[in-house]
Amino acid sequence: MQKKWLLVLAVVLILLYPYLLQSTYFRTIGIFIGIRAIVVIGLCLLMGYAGQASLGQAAFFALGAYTSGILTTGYGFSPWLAMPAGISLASLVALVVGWPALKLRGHFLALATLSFGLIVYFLLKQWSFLTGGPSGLTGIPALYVADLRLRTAEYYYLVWMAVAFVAWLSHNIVHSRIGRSLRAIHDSEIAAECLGVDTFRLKLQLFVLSAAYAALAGSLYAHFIRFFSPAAFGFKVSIEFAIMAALGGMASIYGGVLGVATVTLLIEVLRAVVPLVLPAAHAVAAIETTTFGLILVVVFIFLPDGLAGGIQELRNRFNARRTNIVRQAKEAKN
Amino acid sequence: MSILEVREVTQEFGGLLAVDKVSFQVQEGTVVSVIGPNGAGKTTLFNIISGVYAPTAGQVLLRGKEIQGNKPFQSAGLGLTRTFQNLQLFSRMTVLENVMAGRHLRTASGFFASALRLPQAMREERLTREKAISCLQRVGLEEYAERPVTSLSFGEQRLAEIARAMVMEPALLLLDEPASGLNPAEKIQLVGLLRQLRDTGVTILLVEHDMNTVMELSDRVIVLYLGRKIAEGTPAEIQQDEMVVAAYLGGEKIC
Repeated sequence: MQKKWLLVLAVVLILLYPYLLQSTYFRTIGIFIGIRAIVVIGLCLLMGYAGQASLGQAAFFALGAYTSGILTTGYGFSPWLAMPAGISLASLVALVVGWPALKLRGHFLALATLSFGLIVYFLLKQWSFLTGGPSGLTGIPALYVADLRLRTAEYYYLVWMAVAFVAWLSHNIVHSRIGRSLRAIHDSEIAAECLGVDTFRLKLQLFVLSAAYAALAGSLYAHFIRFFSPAAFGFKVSIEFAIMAALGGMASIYGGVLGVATVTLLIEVLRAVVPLVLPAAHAVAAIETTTFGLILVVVFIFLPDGLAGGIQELRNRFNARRTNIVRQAKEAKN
Repeated sequence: MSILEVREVTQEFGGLLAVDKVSFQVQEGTVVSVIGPNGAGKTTLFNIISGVYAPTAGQVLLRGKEIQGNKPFQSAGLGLTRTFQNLQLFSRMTVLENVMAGRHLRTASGFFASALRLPQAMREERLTREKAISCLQRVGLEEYAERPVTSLSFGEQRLAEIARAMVMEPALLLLDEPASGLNPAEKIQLVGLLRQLRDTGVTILLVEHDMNTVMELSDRVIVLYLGRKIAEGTPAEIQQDEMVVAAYLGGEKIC
């Protein structure tokens, strides 16, 4: 019951947000949180439920964005067609990258995706004929629904509809035969295998799903920002996604969204505050990196299950206290 | 008809012969026990049959089909599953979820059907829950269904693991020391449960130290000693076998 009310509260908050803070700046932040949340939900599934980390999610994000950008600007595709094309391409690439990496035990996927992310980043810079090179793509069309052009407020709702859809899909997967078997792999891979779970196949499918989510987010990013360079898809972005997932609580979908919101807002605060204190040009970037490192250390030591785990524990404690109070009251009566 | 045949299986670990040319057959619908002192190679043999290890030499045939070197999930697909001496439950799940996970092979909903909550996936999920609950009833754990599995006592966890294997409806069930850590009352319950299971047509192969359990349950007993099979026969024959008595029953503590 309590959980349902929290969900309702969250939905109301998300719906009202563009009108509570009526500025393009805040709406844009809302859109970015939504776009990153789509990526991070996929990462949470992968890390929290299959126990596999990806340090190259920005590459799939890039595949979505660039497919949308290239097909719409260079080949006259409708954005609504370019989007599924990007998702399909990213899924296919994930299959090819994940196939050998997931055959190996341990964190080979993390290593493989890390190098994959770097390769994609350099290709985006080098293949100028296709990607526009270091200066990137410009003139990507805005999205229209019928004749209505989606401006910031409408785009905000489109993105959050996508977040809701992805969260719904993910929630269903977690609470299904597939989700159970995934959690089984995480708890005891050998027992899961003896029950007939093809662990390799499930991990690979989940990896492909996470890549598809990232590509969807990439497309949404492309049509919102409408110009970008490879810098938006570098190694640092992949790490940011992983940190958001770790902070939010990996085995939790809403935790992922919470992690994204926290980190995104924190970055914004740092960008506003740091220059006031430290005027040096690189101060913001340095402080950002330091902060990410700090977040990771704090999470690993104090919040192994992320914010979602921390909140759950607080609730457990609160409930336990309440039961104690009720019990004491009863005893006092007697 | 023999459901399982082990032919001259050998497992070498860096020059040490953990299992040395062991052969035996398991007839369908029977209970066969593998006994032997610690280090005899029982668990290694189990790991080979269930696919955790690929043997250095020899064959394992399930219904005439070679399965040595298979991955465990492939053998599971052919109707073979196992439990573990040190318990391998899914610690972050409830008792019911653990058992439901055992239905993986008997259900088919994939990512797509699950993500979109298609009617067949929902129907399957309901059926899975019913089957899991009925297995929990059979082992007497139904009232703990919604509890975290780690909140159960050790003996109850053993039963939960057996329920998880039962729900798969396997043809051949390998049990690695199911009686260890159980109190006398739980052992009696276990024997009854395994008899019932055999009567429903499940063939059972068990590794066990508890002699009462072995003698009460088994149709045949295989004795391993230092990686070799030194005897095979009915429980009565084994108890009188001089070699077994000398090498094992008489020489060492039975437990």
